[in-house]
Amino acid sequence: MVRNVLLTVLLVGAGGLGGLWWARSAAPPREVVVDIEARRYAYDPPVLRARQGDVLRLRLRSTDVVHGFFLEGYDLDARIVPERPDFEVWRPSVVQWAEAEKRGELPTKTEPSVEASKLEGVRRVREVVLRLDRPGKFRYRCSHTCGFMHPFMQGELIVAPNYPFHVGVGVAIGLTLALLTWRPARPTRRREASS
Amino acid sequence: MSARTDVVPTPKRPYQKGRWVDLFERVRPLKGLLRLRSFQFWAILPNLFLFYLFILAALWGTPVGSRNIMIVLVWILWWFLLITLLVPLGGRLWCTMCPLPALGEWLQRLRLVTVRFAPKAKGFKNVLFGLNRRWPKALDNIWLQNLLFLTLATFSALLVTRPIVSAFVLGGMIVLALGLALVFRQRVFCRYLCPVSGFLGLYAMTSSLALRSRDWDVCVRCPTKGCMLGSENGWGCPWMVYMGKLDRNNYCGLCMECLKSCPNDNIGLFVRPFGVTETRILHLDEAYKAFIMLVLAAVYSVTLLGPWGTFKDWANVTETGDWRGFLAYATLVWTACLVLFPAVYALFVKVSQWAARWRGRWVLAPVPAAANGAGEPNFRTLFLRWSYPLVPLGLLAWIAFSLPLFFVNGSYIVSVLSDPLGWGWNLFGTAHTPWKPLVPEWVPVLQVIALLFGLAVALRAGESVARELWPDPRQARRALVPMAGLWLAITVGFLWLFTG
Repeated sequence: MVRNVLLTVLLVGAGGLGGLWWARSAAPPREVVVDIEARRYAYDPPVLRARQGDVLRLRLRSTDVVHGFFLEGYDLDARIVPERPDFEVWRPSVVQWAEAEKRGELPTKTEPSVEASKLEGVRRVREVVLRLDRPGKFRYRCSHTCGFMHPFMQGELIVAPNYPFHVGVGVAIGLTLALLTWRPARPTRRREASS
Repeated sequence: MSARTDVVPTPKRPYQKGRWVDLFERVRPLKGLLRLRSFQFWAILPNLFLFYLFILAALWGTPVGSRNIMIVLVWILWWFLLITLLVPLGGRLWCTMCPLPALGEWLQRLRLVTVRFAPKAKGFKNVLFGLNRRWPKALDNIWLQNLLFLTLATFSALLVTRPIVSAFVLGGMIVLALGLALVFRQRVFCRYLCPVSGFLGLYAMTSSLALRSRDWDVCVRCPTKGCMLGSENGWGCPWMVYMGKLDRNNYCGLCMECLKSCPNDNIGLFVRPFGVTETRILHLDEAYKAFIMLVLAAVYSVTLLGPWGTFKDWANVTETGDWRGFLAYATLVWTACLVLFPAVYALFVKVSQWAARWRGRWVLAPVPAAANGAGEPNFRTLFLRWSYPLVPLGLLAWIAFSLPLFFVNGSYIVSVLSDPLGWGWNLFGTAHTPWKPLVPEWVPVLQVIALLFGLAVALRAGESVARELWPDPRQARRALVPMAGLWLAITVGFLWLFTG
């Protein structure tokens, strides 16, 4: 029993460490311009892959109705009106669009660019600059009800190193190997008879 | 009683002494509570009331799903609680309080609470209203449940986003249950048709809660068989289960009637380890239920939670009008569930059988019966028994799938409680609560934990199955290798879908 437990801990730990090693990335940061087009009920591109430290210059458009762009983990939300080259953007931890609208604080002027981390209220911009300092997989979701499938309208931003996935796979391999090397305590039949 | 027979012999004891805890001994008032004749009535009544409220809201409220209480409370809150808490901890506990068959059952009994007892009647000792027909033997399985569930799943994008579709499907189930209760005796709708009951039965195998007879000898000697035939204190089991043979959770609806009708006080409610105790899938329909559920967890993860718009367009056919795409989607789903995945699984089972025969040389040769104890298990037995580890694996995949539904869309619950119909009410002052996901960046981590736990339980259950099938530990381990590889691959697939 002790052997089995120790072996499991060892192999699962080794798997986790292997996952960390697999996830590592040594590439230098870069700046990427991304045009995201929202339509019922998807974003194009559906998946963005980047590396920790990269700078994303996001430009958002809608081709049909008003959509949102709520980015998990980065405290960013946006409202995208169709056929407009600009969009409204804010940090949900600071302000909600509906509150700003109620207070008459929506912007009337369009700015060329704004850094996401410096947003205080709602701003209307052509581009929002996002520094990817958090690794992992983050969904961007529509935050304005846009139709029946609205709750499922989402895209994915995958910022390497994606530890949950790589460590998860490593631990899964470790778990499987651990079980296959387990030494049974007693044959099943004998145990049944004795119980 | 069900006519189905076991493929492998049933264990000698209904529960494992020492590893299972008898709740009735630990929590004394619980037994008294569950033995109350009105227990199930009071468990169902609030759900029935809410259910009709939801149907009305679906019919007359806003068609926008995220603003209608039917969609938000049923497909976000109820579903999340069911799959993450009720099933793993309580098995079929939902069946105890389910409002869908209640009207049919009450009409069949012509009683809400009390029992109609006919002591001189032959066979069943309860009087039931209706034609009292027996369910056809050919349909004494869960194939109909499998097919109905698959049909609903094909239209799930409509079901979980359109209140009116949910109302017609759930309302239709009530009507069907009512009609069947008038033609057939007992709960044939729950036992053979209800799509929810099908997967609850499968995943209840993993559950930590189990109702069992304390001593089968007492059941065998019991002259009245009150649990099955009914008595003056309780109805004969509505699920057609005989407690003297019950050793799996699949078909016990936890209605607690046997607790009342047993003249020997021989029924116990036990808590047991999760996922590794009840590892016997005995019939092909049950194995297919495990395949269907696992594949559908993947399908939903792609169509509903994935970023690919094409799949959403195909599934959302009534809005997009893309019937060709929908046909492709439906064909893909049905083929994957009924043909592709079972075929891949069968292949791995075959490889596992070969691996068990391998005797350390680079030649595969059958092990002679003498060297293999009682002889090796046949392919059918292997296929069925190896399908059990997919049950904990599938349940945890469903839990991983359901986590973002609740954590991301849970804030709709707060707003819809104040405005259940989407008519602009503000009953509790929460109607304008903005949509705000709850720790969404932590959801992938929780999903990884859930999937790894599922894999660990599946591997542990798989090891237990292997040791039951092959008394020789080396053979058991060799047989386990290909299956464990497949379960690992499935887990990695889900890890990729959710976090990769």
